[in-house]
Amino acid sequence: MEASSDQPDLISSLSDSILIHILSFLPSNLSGRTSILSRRWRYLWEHVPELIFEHCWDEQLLPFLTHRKSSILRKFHLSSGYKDVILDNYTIDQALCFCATQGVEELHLLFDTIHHASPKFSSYYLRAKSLSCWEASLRVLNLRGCLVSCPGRINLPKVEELRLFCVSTESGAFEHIITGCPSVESLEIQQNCHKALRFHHPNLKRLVLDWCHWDHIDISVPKLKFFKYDGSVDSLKTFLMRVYNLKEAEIELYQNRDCNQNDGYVWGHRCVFQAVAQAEHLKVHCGNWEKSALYHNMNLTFKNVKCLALECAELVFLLVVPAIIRLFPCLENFDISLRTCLPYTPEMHIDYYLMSKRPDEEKEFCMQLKNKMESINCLRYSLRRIDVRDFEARDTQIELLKLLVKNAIQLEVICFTDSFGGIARLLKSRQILISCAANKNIKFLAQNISNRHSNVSW
Amino acid sequence: MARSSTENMITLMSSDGEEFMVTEKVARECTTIRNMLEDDCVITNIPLPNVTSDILSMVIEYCMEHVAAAEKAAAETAEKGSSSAPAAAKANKDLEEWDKAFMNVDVYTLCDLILAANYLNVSGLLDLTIQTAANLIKGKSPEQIRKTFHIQNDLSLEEEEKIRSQTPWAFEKSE
Repeated sequence: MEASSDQPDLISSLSDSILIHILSFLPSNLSGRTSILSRRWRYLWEHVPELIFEHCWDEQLLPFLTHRKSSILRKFHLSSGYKDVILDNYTIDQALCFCATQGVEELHLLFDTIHHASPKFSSYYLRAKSLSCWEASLRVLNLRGCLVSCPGRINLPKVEELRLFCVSTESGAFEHIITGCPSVESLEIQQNCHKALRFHHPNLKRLVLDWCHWDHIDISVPKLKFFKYDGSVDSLKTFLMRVYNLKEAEIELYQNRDCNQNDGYVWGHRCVFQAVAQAEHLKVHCGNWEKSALYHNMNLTFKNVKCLALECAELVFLLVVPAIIRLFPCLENFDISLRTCLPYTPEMHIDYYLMSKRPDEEKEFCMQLKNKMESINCLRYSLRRIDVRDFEARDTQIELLKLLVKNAIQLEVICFTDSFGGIARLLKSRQILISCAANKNIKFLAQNISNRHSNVSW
Repeated sequence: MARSSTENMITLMSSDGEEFMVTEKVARECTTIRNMLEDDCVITNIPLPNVTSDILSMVIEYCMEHVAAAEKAAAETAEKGSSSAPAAAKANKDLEEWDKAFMNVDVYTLCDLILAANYLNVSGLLDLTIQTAANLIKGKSPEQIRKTFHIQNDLSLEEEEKIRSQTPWAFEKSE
């Protein structure tokens, strides 16, 4: 109406397939809304092969499905947030029945988990039977906040990606779902109410255990290439993971505040690290280094690890780093984040270890450190590159880098990424580091220096 | 566009007769051109009657940026034997930023780019432009969408009312 006629309507002249492609990037109620734009747009939305419902309720869903004319449906996505009225089971069942007849390849059922806590809402109860009619086509199955019951066998031979977030099942059924998808290559499990995870899967390549607090883990995954463990190990009693091809691992461990069993914590730590010792790339984030198995000598060695990325949440890197890199005899690339995101004020904590000591103690501490550094294998033979992130040019940070630069005989590159100290302090630090690098020719790189002088190049 | 002379150069000609010399590697980012080159490997001059010079130069800019990024990543991997995951993530982020800045165009240029990306079959650029167009639709009322894209509403008021009553769920509760 208001669009003036002297400006041509270019978008409407695009082909149907392009416009449908554009609409497929929108939630379905928004693509439905485009039916009112003009005659050209009247029926386009009905041909979008993906149905995406976010925050929807019963009155929306069923009319939409019955209204649909296109027979091709590739993806069905249904999600609700905690503020929404949850859909009733019957409606979702109806929707799933409808979709199953259309050869859907991707099914996402994501419900907010807050409903679990409140008796007012009941979670969606997914029956194994309703999944069985998806057998022929389903490739991606993504469930969150559902109850799954599977008295019968689950068989989804084509599923390649499986995500189970906050899915509750009867005991044992969880493993049934996993083994019922024999072609799965990527499996993600998040926040589970079960105590034990036990399964054997011959084809799994990627496994992510997120927000986990299992008691028993016993898995056999011969083809696994990537493993991520994010959670607490406080209650871990069994940890068995049989892997033969692991290339990359990410470990993020934290401790429950109310847990006092420190021994158990360190032991659980050790189990997890031992399981991933054969990886080549390792990324570690650890909330409490002093209780970490990496810090304590627990007969761990990582002979395969070539790249190690470390996040030192506590500012004790002068103690922690030498103790840890000792365990990596073949390390080539060391990536360390010196982030200081602590509840303490940085000043109070950052030089904590040096400031808490008297001068003579400090001297002795530095001597010990120096001796320790000289005997570290990777510094002598393999370390070629150090990536420093979140560098603020503070004394302890410079001290650590000085020690590394002095002792790393093969070092070729130091790269600073996301520094906060500003270019002037970075240049000064570089000068200090060059002076202790002696005759070595080290290349210094800097990326993403946040500060007023960010455009100055080295 | 200075490259080593050993690389094959291809000339792309826009609909308005302008010629663009690009390396074969950059030209191959367009699947349509790649197929032509594979069918007939001696071809060096390709007329593109559906693409104007200003749009073609943008497509080439996009392809060159992405080829350069891929080459850089490959060189780093070769140099070190194994790629460093944080460095790769950083490079990806940079490229995303570049893409975002590249998409800072008016709707006409955007539509032309969609057409060109579709015709030349540059999948990365097609996804990027289509996503950008979808983002322009998101969060807008029908009237705002019409205004943004200069869409002429040729529906009568009665017809509009009819559509609204047939699919009420699409018009309830705007986000």
